[in-house]
Amino acid sequence: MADKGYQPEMFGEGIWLRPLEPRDALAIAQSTEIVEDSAQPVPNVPTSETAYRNWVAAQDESSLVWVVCRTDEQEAIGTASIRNIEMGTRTAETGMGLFYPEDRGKGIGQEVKALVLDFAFEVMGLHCVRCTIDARNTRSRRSVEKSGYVLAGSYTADIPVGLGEYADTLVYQLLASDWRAAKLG
Amino acid sequence: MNSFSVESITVPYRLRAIRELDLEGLPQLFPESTVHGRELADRRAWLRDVESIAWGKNPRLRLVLEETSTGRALAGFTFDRKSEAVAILRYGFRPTTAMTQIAGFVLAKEFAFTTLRLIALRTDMVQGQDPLANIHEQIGYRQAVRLREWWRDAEDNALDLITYEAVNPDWEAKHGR
Repeated sequence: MADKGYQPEMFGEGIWLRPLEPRDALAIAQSTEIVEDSAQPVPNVPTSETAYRNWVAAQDESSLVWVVCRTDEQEAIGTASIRNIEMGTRTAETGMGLFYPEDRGKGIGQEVKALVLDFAFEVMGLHCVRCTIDARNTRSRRSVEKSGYVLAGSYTADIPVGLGEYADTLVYQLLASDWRAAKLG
Repeated sequence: MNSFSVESITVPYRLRAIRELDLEGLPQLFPESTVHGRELADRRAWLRDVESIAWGKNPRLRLVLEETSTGRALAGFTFDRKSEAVAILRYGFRPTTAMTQIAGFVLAKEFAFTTLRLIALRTDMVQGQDPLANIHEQIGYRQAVRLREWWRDAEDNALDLITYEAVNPDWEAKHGR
């Protein structure tokens, strides 16, 4: 696995984030729906534990991926990521997903996003992040808007969803300055 | 009705594959590529590499805008296939006129929709590239996404990155816009 440099564990009220490891492959592969706040959380999404192990091992230095765990537990209940990191422009793409429907709507997503954004802006020094969402996913839209992301536009027919059918992708962004202002306000 | 011969119709530009003759102008035609070196031999090796991938398997397709009367390459267009339906267009022009640029962009769009049968063709530009933005709007592109302060210029000023998108009319007729 590539050297990720400084990628710490991060702790919230009811959850904590730890860097993705090969042992998480099974949990991810078994999750029924890894897509929540990202239209395409990983390129060429693997479909088996072996494929996920290979995917974990192949993560490069432009990606930081964490698994989400409940406090005092090790089992992954979701993932969070900062991808396509461009330090020249100080931009990146964020994404997150919770594996199980019963974990949604409980504020876990907001907590995860707050930790990831705090790391992105205050530790990494990024200027701006974006995230992409399947336009049909109203839950995710509400969730990222609640975290302060602003709609920047949409891509037509961006996500293959069936034979010859495609869904649009919404693109949201969040500037560090807006994030800090919202925290203070 | 006046008669005419097909041969008498002159088409000033066309898109075609890269040729050895284009290697000299390669950095202008495909400025996004950092692999082709200064030496002609390096460029030839690069061309051999990128063109050895079978048609249909290569996610990055490069075409040249040719002036048909001279065979000279005026522009290079790169289609990066994101999926079966979408490609990202990048380009490089030799010093030329706005009309030639428009012709090139029109041909690239037609190629995307008729030959590649794409649903959407996208291209990025940085805030302030007004002439280019106007050309794209004139030929049917629309602003799809505007990421504020996403790009840095040489003085480290933060500029917006704007994605323009052209959508296949057949898709629009079926799905609306």
